Amino acid sequence: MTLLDVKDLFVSYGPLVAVQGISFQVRKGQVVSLLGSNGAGKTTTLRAISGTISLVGGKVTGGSISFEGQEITKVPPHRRVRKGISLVPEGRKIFHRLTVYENLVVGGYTVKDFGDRLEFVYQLFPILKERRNQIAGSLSGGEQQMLAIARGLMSNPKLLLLDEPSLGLAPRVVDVLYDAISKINEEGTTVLVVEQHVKKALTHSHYIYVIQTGRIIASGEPEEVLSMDMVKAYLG
Amino acid sequence: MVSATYILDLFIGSFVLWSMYALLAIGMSIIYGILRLINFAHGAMLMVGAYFYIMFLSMGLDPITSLPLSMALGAVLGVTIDFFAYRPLRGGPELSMLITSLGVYIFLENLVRIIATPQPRVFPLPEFLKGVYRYGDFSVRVIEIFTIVLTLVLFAALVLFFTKTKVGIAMRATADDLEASVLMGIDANRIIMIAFALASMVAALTGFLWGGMYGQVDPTTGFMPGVKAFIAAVVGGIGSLTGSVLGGYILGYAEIYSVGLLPPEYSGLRDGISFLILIIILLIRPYGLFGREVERV
Repeated sequence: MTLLDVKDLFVSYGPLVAVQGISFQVRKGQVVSLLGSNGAGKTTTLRAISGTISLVGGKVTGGSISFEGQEITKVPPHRRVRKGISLVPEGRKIFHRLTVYENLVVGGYTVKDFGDRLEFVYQLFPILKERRNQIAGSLSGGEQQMLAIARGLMSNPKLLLLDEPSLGLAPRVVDVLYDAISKINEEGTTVLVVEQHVKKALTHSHYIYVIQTGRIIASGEPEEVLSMDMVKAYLG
Repeated sequence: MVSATYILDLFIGSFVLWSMYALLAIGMSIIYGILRLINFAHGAMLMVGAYFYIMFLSMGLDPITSLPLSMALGAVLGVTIDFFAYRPLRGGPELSMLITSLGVYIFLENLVRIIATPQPRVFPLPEFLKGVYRYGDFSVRVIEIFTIVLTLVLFAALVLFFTKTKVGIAMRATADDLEASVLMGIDANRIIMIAFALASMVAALTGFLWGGMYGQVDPTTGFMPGVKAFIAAVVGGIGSLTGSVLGGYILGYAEIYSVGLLPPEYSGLRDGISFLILIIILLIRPYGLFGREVERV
């Protein structure tokens, strides 16, 4: 079953067209990766799906985004969270001046079973429980990324969007994060992850799309995509 | 020689002034924290609040009903102003909102001038706040004690609101990072509405205290308190509530003691001293005592 269906999507920042008619699908229960180099339009695509594109001066100028069969292009970003879409943004964007616990409270702003969600994310990242009263800005980079993912999970999303979760982190931390992502997926959450870290994405995804200058240039299951010569050349 | 009673008088005086500056500064800080708007119209909300109180009294209501009603009407006005004046400008340059807030100030002052005439109005204090306690040479007015106690209670309530309630924490989160808070399912417009309602309600209450302390109000009453609250907020580090409270204290203290301890011919300098403090603090700590560098993208 298709959870997310992006059709012929165009996104612009003023005169600059960042995404030029991409189409892809995310099936329920899968981990799907969007791969591509810097500036390929990956972050813009996630912003369009989460609706926050309007907050950074961008606009969906064509195409459609459907979630669970419903067109959501016109739905304001905060309502998309209630529908079950949660974005863990690039650069983490945790609330630096709030404590770890308060970050999670805000993450669970829309849910009723706050206690259960808190238990779930503390189990996933026990370090956050230890640090719950610490100011979030004082956490290490890896811990901040864990907090960002935990916060994104508090709303009990059906679809978790992850924007470069491994960026700037030590390999050991990246392993921890991807193990957690697999666990989250096993618990039933569908994941769409944007990555430059090709190896991690390949070993942890069910399906892969390769995006270049705002267009999808290849797609398929990991082994399939990796064997394509042009993909090898592009991703290196 | 300065007597102990006189020092105590000054202490009470600075405490009272601190209360009112801090209450206004907190409102400015809440709004700044979320919208990055230095709301110059905030001083006018104090003046309008005082007029609302007089209006309800003249409609025959008693003081106990009139005060909460004037605060509620202040909150409604604050939210309305946000809706018509600031909301259309969101996403645009911060400067346009700043200039608009100056315009809103001028609009409110003149609107009150037209409706209520430019003449000062006597501010009728309720009976139970009219008394004076005397202990030998020392005397303190009930309204002064009321102002100080009410301010402390309000601070405690605000601290609880911002640290213990979901909406309060969400407001701090929105002030920290608006885009991220939207990603948590928070309706930013709703949070901004709550911020304006809260800040304007507290400003209206401050208007009541201000009127009660000085016995009269006129359409320009809000100007200087607004400027002083702005200085207090900046000195403390705008956006920080602790900073606003501390900034208000520094300002109230400096103003009262400089007037009280300097020879009478220098008493005209009291406003100048506030600005001097602002300049010195900004030279030493450009982001205020509790402020942090604002990240620019």
